[in-house]
Amino acid sequence: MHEWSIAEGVVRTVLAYTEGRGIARVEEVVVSIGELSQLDLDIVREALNMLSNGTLLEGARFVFVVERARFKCTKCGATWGFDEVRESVEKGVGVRVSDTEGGEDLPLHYLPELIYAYTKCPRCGSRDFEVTGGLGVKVVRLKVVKDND
Amino acid sequence: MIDHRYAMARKSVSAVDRVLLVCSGKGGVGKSVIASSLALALKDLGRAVGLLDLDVHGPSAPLVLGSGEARLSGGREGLYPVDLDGLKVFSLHYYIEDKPVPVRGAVKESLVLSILAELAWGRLDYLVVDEPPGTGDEIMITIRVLGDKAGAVLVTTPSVLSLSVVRRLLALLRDEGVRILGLVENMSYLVYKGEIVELFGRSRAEELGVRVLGRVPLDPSLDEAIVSGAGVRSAKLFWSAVQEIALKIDRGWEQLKA
Repeated sequence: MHEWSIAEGVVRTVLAYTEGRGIARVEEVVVSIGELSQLDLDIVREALNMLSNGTLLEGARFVFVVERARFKCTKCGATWGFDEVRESVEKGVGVRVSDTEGGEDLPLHYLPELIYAYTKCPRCGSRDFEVTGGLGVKVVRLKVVKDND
Repeated sequence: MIDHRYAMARKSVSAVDRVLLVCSGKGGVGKSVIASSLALALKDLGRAVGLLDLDVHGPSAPLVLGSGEARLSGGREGLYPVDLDGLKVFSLHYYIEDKPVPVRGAVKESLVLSILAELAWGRLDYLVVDEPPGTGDEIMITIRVLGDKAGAVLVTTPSVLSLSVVRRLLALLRDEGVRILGLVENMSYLVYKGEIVELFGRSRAEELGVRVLGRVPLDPSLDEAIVSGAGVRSAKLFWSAVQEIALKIDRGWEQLKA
C-alpha cells in the first residue's frame, strides 16, 4: 500500500508548486512512473483522487506514463529490460517487506534503486551496469487554470 | 519535472525534533558503533529516538545492535522502521542482508532520497543519522533535506590522518550552515593495568577548534559484547564514555556550539 504515500507526495508537490502562482485549479497532472517501483496504478489513482478532495486538485485528471526499466552493461555493452531479469530478481530477493494489510512486496516497491543488489548483466554477469530508465515517480506536466482565466 | 520525494521526505521528519548527524572524515574510526550507541544512550535518557543507518555500501548498525534478523514492514505511510525495544531503526541491511549494492552517482543520490522519503518515523525527539564516511552524496542530500533540524557530531581517532580529513568535513558542514555540536575522539586511549595508554600519542582533538564532547577509550571488551549479543552497554569503559557524551548532547543541544 505504498501507493498512498506516493500519492500524498505527488499531491503535496503539486500544491506547493501552485502556491503564489495565481492558479485557480489544476486540470491535469501527468505523472511518470518507473516500472521498477512495481506500483498498482489503480490504487495510485484512487489515492490521488481521494487526497485531492478539497484542494486545487479536486477533479483533476491524472495521466500515468509508465517508463519501462532499461539497463545497459558498462562492461560488455549489453542492454536489457526488466522482463528479461524479472524471474531471477524475484528468486534472488531473499527478504520481502510485509504489508500491514497482509500482503508482501519486493523491496523494489519502496526502493527501486535496490535493483543493483538483485541483478547482474544477463550476458556477462557484471554488476557494473547503468539503469537508463524506469526509476522513480515524477510529476512531468501540469495543466492549470489561472485565477484570471 | 518535479521530484515528489522532497515533499515526502519533509513529511517523514515533520514530527522529528532534532536530527543528529554522526559523521567522520575517514572510515574505520568507529562511527557506526558511536552512532548506534549514542542512539541507545539517548533512548536510555527517556527520549524517543530513531536511528537511520545511511551507509548504503556497508550498513552495520544492525550488527552493533544485534538485530540482523529483524525485518521491515510497510503500509500506507511508507516503510516502518524496525522497533527494537522502543528504538526505531532503519538500515538497508534489513533488506539486502550481505548482498553488495554497487550504486553510484545519480542512482546513489536517488536511493538516499528514496530512503529519506519512504520512512514513517512518527514523533521523535532525536533522529540519529549514521552517515557514511566522507563528503559524498549521502551527507549532501541529508543536509539538503534535513539540514534545518540538524546538528553534527564528528567522530575521529587521535590519528593525525583521521584529523586532517575531519578538517575537510568540518569546512563542508560550516559552508552548508550545519550546526557543529562537537567532536568525539574514539579509540582515544587504552586502559592497561590501571594506566592510561595513549596509543596515538598526545590527543590533537583540541587543535581543530571544535568542542570535544568526549574521549572514548578503546575497550577490548566491546567486540566481544557485540558478537556475544550482550550488547554495547556491557562494555563498561566504552559505554560510560558514550553515556556522558549523550548527556552532554541532550542537555546542551541549544547551547552546544563549537
